[in-house]
Amino acid sequence: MNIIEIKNLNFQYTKKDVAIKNISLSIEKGEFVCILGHNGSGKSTLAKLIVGLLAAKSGEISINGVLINEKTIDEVRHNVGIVFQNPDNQFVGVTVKDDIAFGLENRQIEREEMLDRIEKYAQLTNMSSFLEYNPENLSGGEKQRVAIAGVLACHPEVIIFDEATSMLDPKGVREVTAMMNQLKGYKTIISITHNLQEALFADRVIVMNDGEIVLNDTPINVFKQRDILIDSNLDILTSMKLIKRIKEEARLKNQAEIEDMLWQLTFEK
Amino acid sequence: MAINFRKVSYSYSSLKKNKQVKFAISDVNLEISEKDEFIAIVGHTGSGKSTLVQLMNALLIPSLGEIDILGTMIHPRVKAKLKPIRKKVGLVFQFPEYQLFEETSLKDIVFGPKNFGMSAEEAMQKATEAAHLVGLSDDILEKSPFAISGGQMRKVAIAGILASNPDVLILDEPTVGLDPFGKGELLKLLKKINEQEHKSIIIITHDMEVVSEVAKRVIVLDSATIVYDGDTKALFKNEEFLMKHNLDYPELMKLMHSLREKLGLDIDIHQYSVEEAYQELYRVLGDTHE
Amino acid sequence: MNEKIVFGQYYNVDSWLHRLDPRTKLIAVFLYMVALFVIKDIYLLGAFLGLAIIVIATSKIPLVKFLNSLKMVSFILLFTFFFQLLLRKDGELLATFSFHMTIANALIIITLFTLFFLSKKIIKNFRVVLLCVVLITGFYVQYKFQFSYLLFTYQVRIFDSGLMMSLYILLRIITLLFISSLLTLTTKPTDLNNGLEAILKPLKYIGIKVATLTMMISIALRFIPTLINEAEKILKAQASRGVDFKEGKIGAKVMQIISLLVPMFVIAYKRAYDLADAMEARGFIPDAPRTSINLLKYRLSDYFTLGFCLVLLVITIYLRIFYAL
Repeated sequence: MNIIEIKNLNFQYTKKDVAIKNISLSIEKGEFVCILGHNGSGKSTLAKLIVGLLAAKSGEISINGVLINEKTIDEVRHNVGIVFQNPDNQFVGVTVKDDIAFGLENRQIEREEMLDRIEKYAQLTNMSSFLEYNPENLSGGEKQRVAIAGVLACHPEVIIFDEATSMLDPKGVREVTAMMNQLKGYKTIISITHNLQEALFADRVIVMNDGEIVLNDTPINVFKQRDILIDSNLDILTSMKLIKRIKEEARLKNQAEIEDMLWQLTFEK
Repeated sequence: MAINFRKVSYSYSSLKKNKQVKFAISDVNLEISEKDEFIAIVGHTGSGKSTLVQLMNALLIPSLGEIDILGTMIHPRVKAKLKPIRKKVGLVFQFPEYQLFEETSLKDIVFGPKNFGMSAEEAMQKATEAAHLVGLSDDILEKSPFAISGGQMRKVAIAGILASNPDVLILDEPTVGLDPFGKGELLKLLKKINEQEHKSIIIITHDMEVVSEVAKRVIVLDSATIVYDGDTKALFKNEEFLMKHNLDYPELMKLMHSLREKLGLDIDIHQYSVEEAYQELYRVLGDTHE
Repeated sequence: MNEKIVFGQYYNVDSWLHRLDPRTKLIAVFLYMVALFVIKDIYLLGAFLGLAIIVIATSKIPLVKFLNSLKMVSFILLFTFFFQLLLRKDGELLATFSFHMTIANALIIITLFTLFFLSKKIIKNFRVVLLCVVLITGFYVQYKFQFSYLLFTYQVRIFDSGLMMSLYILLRIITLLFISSLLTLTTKPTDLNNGLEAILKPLKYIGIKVATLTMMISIALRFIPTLINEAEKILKAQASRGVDFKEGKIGAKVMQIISLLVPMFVIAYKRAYDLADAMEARGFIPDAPRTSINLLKYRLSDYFTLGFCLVLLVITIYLRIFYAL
């Protein structure tokens, strides 16, 4: 069952630049999809369209069978949560507890239920001992974990991570990536990034370039397409560069074995 | 030696009362030449990296010890004028695009040189040179800094510091937030400045790829002290040290390491480019002789 | 941990005052202040000040914090005191002073003031005290010395009504300051905000969007420390570009300020934009009904405090009407 169905989507910010060009895409329930693209490829715009922060020029998006429009967007938002890039600019509450409560307050959840959910999801994201902290005293990774707890507390089926790790230090990246992996299989996850490492453990990778989808396949198949990746202003994985070099000369013993090994190592994380 | 730290400690709280203070930087001794150095400063968050570089251009004054910056002595009770130091030691902060404010990008680049006392003509000339060096075309220069892309804004900010012609250039996490293409461009630019103009470059980074690609010397900070100060290649050869301080190998070395283990062959994992790595593999597994 | 910035003036100890419901404190302070303005009798006013000081003693907050609030307005207090003292000319004459302005005295006074202004760099604290010393010396010189050519003489007459009036006003201002400090030192800004929201809630029936206003205040409180940190970063970045706030003519100063304000505005704007997106994505609809994680509950101490203040106010009104106190 396709939880997200996008058909012939078009969007532009100004009359000149077209940000999204006739995109069609389906995502199954429980899938972990990674959307890769350079800055300006349209990937974040796509995320905003899915959560209804922007309205498409033409085309349609359905979440769980419901078509997104002005009337249905409030309902649809119950099913999609999004974690944005800047840890500070999505932290609404004065304390961690207040922030996790924010989404619940909006949905008019009863206070008793709120307290339960806050406790549960703070524990899940390892932020239980930080409930009375102010955002000023939290690291980027910790703030993002609070954002994740806040999203999870509203029980959405889909969670979008819009470059959620690009402003974090290595420790923060590890923490958030670990959380994303923990959710794999339990929620439908869309991870938007330009970091190829993050795409490795996705079920499917979609590559965007200048508003269009240029690749839509398993990670292995996508990473084989070196030329398309370079064309899309994305870097190639180091292992791919090495494989290419080896293939070029074709003078190593057990060449095929080594190439396979390098492939394997790529996905071994 | 251009920048010389002698037993420098810095605390964000005042040292007046006889209380236990927490030092952001403790007992640091360091010598940095004003030519040709390319140093990477690495360390966990909170280890003191930002504090260290802010001491280098006298934005912060040491709580203990003294720093000789290009001839000017900086110590806790310093009276000397600090502005000239900031011209000679340029510091580019993280997300430098946030410091832009002028009407046009060119005017913003000219801001620094003018503040440091250059005449209007000289400032304009230096600004244009710096802009071309970082790869900004003239039509970008005429636009407002808020009407250009994030990557271009970053270039404007960096040009703004380069235009004052510093001897030493310090950059705090310059590649964060850039996509792979932008990152590659920036590193190429830094290498160019280092090799052609012989300026010393210091970058704070947590990206080991960057370290292995451009740095000749690495300073590792851990909990306010320097635990390593030396050659990049030597650092990567010290596996025990890397593990102890939670530092990673660059991707290429990790691959070579895994290949060595899987194949059970004596492959030298310390290769710094794909070409070098291939040559090493060829050395061990080449079959041309047949 | 920059708790200082986050909580404004909040002083973090545990006292019965800290534990009171914020609504109680807001209403109690209001009632007390109304009472202060109703009172005419100076001795009754003194009693109210005394009561305030007793409450302060139970707050576990050092008196210094309260005296600091006086420091801010000390200049105005001084001015008001002397203004009232000299203004009133009825009642019993208490004292007369003759002051002589001679050339020598004029020169001495000018020298004293010049020294005062020049000493700004050397003596940084207790400027107001220093000013008082300068003024007192100035007047003393005019009182005692009559050397050299006399320019003019003037007299100052102090009447008992003047003295009473200045003391009256002084006592009231001090009590007001102490009471409001009690409020801000014992209540976190966010609690004040929640308390205010709860009290003003009925206003929504006359069209005032209380919930929206308090949400705005809440977000502002959340971001104040963030903005302060950001300002520091921008200052440092601009300092690295040669901005030196200590030097420069007017033109340069304007540029310096612009180099701080423009980035702050740009960042704030982007922040607001992003935050609005995040809030909307999380289901926030302005003016729509929402539940609240915060729960304000009255306890016995709240009822007692409110009751007490109400009684105080009623008594003062009664005394004023029937006994002109």
